[in-house]
Amino acid sequence: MIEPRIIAATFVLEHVPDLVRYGSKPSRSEEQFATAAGKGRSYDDAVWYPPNQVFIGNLSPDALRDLSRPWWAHPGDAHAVGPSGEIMGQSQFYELLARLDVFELVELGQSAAVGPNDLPLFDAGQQIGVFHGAHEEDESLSARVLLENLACKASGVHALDFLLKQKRIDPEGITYCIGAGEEAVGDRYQRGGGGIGRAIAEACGLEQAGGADVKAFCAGPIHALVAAATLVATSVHRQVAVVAGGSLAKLGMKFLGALQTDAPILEDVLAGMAIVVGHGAPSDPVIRLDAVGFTSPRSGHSQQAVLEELVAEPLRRLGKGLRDVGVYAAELHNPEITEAAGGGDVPDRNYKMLAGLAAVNGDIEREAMTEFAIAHGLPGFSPTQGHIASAVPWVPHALKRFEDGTLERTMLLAKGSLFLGRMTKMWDGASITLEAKNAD
Amino acid sequence: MVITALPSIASMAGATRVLRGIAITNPVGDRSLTREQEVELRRAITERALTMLETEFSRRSVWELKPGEATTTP
Repeated sequence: MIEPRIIAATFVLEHVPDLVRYGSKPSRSEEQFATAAGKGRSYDDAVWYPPNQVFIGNLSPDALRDLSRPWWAHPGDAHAVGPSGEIMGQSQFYELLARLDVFELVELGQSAAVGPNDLPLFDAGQQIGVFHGAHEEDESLSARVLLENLACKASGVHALDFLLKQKRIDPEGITYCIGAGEEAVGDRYQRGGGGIGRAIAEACGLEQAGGADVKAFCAGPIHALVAAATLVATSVHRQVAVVAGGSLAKLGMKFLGALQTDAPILEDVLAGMAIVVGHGAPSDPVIRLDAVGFTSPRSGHSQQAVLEELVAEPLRRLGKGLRDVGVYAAELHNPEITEAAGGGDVPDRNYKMLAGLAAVNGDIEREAMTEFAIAHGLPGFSPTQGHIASAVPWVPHALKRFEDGTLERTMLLAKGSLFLGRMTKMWDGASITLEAKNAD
Repeated sequence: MVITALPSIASMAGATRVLRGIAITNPVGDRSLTREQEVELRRAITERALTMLETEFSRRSVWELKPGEATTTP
């Protein structure tokens, strides 16, 4: 069996302050959102924002620990391009949307007329185009839903294109592409039917690639990585891409929190990701298929039982304890966004629970819990883009640490809130462990 | 005549002459180069585009920057 390795990973951002109005929360709270005028950020402010610099690889996550809060109040010299990603501005993103649109949905130009089924597109307060709905009665083909879907495709294309160019990977060498985003693409007869991975692959010139989408709420990318690693390990495919675009619905999700403070609206970026799994070089980390973690109905609704299944049990299969993992990547939501809205520091809470599990299982002393949470954890730095914020933004940083020889083993764990869809009350979850070649 | 980092999309949209650009955010530039190298690259891309305009095509074509890498797609 081939040892599947992660050979490249990129994470990009699209700064789209004028699309925040079409986020789910702002569009449902029009009156309050109208009072948020002036709370938007300029492109430069989004570029130097330290968590965004971590996201594209110019800063390491640990750099945030040394930076006093609020992070948005630390203007600095920063580049829009990093070693593992870049930040695109709004007008360029509109052009990308138009270029990727193959159904005449996007009409750029100030003279474009806004019909009853259309949405106006703005840049710096000026109307610069129109997004047309594709069907009068089919909600799945309304302008709002299609804008979400095309924005998802575009940010995914941006991420995969950046990866192919930056890492000089031949697009024709990737023969399968898995979409792992949360957007439901399809018409009213097959809402959520899929195909976004295929659409991204087509646009990026993956002429040989088949593919399908993997849906698992926020845990989608981890499930997709398990599938990708399995396809490579079993020689079905030599190289597989896992891609996901951003979530337009989540723009401005916590803007009410920002209204209470001096903070600007920080949820003004879409995120995109691309990860390639293949044979790789010996310095690339191996995805341990013998230590994949999944949740099952037996863990019920208990968070502790979910963590046991996701973390402790897979490690036992490797003959390891919780201290043998250098860094755990869980949900990496930026606390500056979630705290303002009363959601607390999500990563901090997760690492405390993980430390609790380590103490209960006898891996560490109870007194060492705080130390464990910091030493094996990460500060949150991802925009609240759901599936993208779940563990995976750590991957480019982990790849660098594996290359430097300063990381031996890392675990990515993601949870999915299945109950949001009203079909079950279960949590979902999945975890994978990456290991250096010579890990003990 | 289109210079784009996403040539398959341009071909699909009906463009006959497509030249593969560097990246989405900078189709005719490369921020990893020095200023002089980048000017040279921009000139090379522009000249290549002009050559494409002077060439007769019977079907949709995607060209790479270097003549040796030229490819034609159906």
